[in-house]
Amino acid sequence: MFEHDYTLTGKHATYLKQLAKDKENKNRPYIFDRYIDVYMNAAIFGLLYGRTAEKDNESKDRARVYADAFATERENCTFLYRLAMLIDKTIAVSPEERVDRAFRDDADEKSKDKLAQNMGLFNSYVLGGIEVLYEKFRDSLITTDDCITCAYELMKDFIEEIQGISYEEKLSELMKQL
Amino acid sequence: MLFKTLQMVNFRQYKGETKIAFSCDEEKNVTIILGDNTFGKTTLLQAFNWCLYGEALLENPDMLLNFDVASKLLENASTDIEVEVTLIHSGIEYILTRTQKYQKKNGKIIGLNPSIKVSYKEKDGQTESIKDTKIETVINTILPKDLSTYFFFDTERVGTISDRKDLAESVKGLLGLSTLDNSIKHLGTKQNKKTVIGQYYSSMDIDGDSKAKEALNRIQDTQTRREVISTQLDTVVSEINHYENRKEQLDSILRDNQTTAALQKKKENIEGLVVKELAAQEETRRALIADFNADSLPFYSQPLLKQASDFLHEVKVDDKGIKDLTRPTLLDIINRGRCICGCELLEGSEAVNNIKNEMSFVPPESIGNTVRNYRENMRSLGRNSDRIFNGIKTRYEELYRQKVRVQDWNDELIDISDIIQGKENMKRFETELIDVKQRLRDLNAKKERLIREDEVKKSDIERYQKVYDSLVVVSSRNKNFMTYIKYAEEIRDWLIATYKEKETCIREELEEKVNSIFEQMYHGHRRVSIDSKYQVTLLTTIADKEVASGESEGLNRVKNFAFIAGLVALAKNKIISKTGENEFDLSSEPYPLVMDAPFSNADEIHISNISRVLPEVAEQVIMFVMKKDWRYAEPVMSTRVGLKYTLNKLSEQHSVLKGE
Amino acid sequence: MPIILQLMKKGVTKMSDTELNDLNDKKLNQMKVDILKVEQQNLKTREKSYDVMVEEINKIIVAEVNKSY
Repeated sequence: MFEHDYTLTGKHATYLKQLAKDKENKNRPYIFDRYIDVYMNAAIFGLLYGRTAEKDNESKDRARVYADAFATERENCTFLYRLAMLIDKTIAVSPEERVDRAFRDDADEKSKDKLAQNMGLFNSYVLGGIEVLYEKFRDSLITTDDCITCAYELMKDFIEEIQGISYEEKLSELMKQL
Repeated sequence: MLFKTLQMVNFRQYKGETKIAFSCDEEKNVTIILGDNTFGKTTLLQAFNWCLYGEALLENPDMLLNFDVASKLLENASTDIEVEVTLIHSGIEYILTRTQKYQKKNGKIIGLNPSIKVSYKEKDGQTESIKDTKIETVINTILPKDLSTYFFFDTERVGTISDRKDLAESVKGLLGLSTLDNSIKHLGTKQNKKTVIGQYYSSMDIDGDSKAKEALNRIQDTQTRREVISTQLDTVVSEINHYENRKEQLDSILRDNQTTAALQKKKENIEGLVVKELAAQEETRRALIADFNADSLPFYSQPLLKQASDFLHEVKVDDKGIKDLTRPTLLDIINRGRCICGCELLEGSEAVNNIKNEMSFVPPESIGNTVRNYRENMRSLGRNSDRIFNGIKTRYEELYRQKVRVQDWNDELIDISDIIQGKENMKRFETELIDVKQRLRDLNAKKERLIREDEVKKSDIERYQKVYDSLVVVSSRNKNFMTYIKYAEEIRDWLIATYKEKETCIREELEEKVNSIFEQMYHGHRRVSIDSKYQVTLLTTIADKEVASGESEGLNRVKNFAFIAGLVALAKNKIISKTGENEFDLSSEPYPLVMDAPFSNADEIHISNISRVLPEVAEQVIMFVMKKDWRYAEPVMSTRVGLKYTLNKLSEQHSVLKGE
Repeated sequence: MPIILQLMKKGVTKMSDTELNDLNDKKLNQMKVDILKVEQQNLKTREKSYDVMVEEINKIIVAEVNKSY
């Protein structure tokens, strides 16, 4: 698991490149330092929004996450993989099967096929997550300050949602501003 | 004195015959002549001047003949130009006609000597002419030339009217003080041998005592010198005043400039601060992004972790195994043949069987360990959410504050730049100030010298006087002269006292009158003050003190109008002086006001104020007005307008006056 | 002895100390009137120069002083 390069194609490649730092044009605004960072965060966002996506071949664009990047972040990636396998409900399996899928398939030599399937599922979440990330950050990729503001606002809204805000309050606050 | 009519024949652009009558009505005493610049107003005004005094202040004053007419003149042919003014003075109607012949000789148009004829109408309607030799005298009786300049009002001169030095003299004349003033001057002093008293002293016989004679000469010469010094001193003092004013102006400009230097420094300081802050901003940004990158995963994982944790809790995965122990690891140990604890491991032994049993609790047989690890990871990630957000929030707010600071500083920089830019180049003012200071030094030195010289002369005179007094012989001839002197000195002293009294009185009256007129024209906290030289200053009350204030152009004009109006109003008053039983009338004749474009450059409010006040103050007002200014004056003045004309310019050489 | 010295002996040094008639008010006033008249006239006509005026006034005073009535 996570031993090889991973290549993104089409729009996902384009999105990934936009979200990540450009080594050649250092002043271009970005959200994440490395491709692997985009990859990992995309996994989270794909899971959060329950969004998967298939490989896109519409354009000839390509982006590659290298094996040594995975090596650096193997622990995190593995963690995320297990998380995805535990949470995913798109493939109908029993709870026990879900647990196996999350913890056993990657260790057992006999389950190579299953592992491949699982990785396919995981990566579809990654691709879906990239789409979500791109949608959220697209407008702010113009200036660094816009990116920062966007990231901050996202975090703020997220934490409010998690902590449980009173929608009544928020709505009436919004009404006042309109 | 009132003007009745003006008639011109081929005078400049007034081709042919032009006749204009002026309103002499008591109520409707205003005559308006409308027309814009270059239509011929100045010429009309100068026609008066030329008729009365033979002077036309126009360009090319030797060619007064209309150009069209001139161009049609044949060689050796001639034609006349004429200006006729009829007026009423002291109840008598006068007709003044000045004519000039122009002749074409050798292709050139030459003007011959103008001639003037004056006649007057007797009460019975008979016309009598005045002898040529008396004409100038009569005209000066009607309207003396130097005073005429105050009543033929010229736009350009409004600005300077109360700045002229000879003003004092003319005002005195206008207000009837000239008689007293002149008689005082004529009577004079014993030191001035050109005067009556001086002559009496000079005539005294000093019986061959050459020392006394010499003393008298010295006295009188020194006195002359003193008078010269006095004039020079006046000039120097006025120059000093002028330069003092300029120095003050320059000082104030340069004081502002010092603020510029301070501003410049401030600007540089702020620019430095901005640079630092921008660098700090960059750092904050960088840190923020780095934090975000580092913390984004745990932050956003929270809800997912919760889900997974809940799920795992339900499913009850057993985790009996030893942490991180895996099947391959156990196989390795078995193959090694020796356990970690040191025990020998033989195939089929109990130890090996135990180990093999354990395998069912480790991955891949059992995922308990993995799950247990996983759970621990989840727990450690779970605690950080708030801290992460607060960290980012702090940085974000810091960034915002930094940006606001920079924005404020930039705004300040822009303001400062604007102020600095507004200042003019200071160099030339500095140079001028140095020059002005030098001049002041020189002038003051000169002033000192003159004062000292005057003191020396004064004490010389006193010395000579003592000598003289001690040597004069009291002969009978001298006794007569001494009588004359006594009378003369007595009269002179009385004249001086009367003059002082009247002059102060008049000046106060004038100031009061001018102020009351000024108030009607201008509403504000200012007052006019008139000094002994009849210079007019505007005062403003600041913190209970009256201070000479600066004057805008508009305000200046209003002040000058008020002054003229005040003079005219006062000229109507009489000054009575008692000399025994005779009451001596020292008053002077009221004059009309002939004004050329009095309104241009004055604003609307002032125009209507001025238009309202002037007809009330002058006997007769003849006004040349530009059409655009008449708009504002008409509503106010129309009830006082007796006659109205319009000037039309048909061509450069031809203007026409039309009445309504 | 020169009169000068006589006078000096008496302590007379100034004109006003000498014995003179007191001024006649009527003559004084008449002079004032005449002088002012001539001044006013000249103001209008401007005929006479400064010197001429001085001469005129001179004569007025002298004539009045010498008048017997």
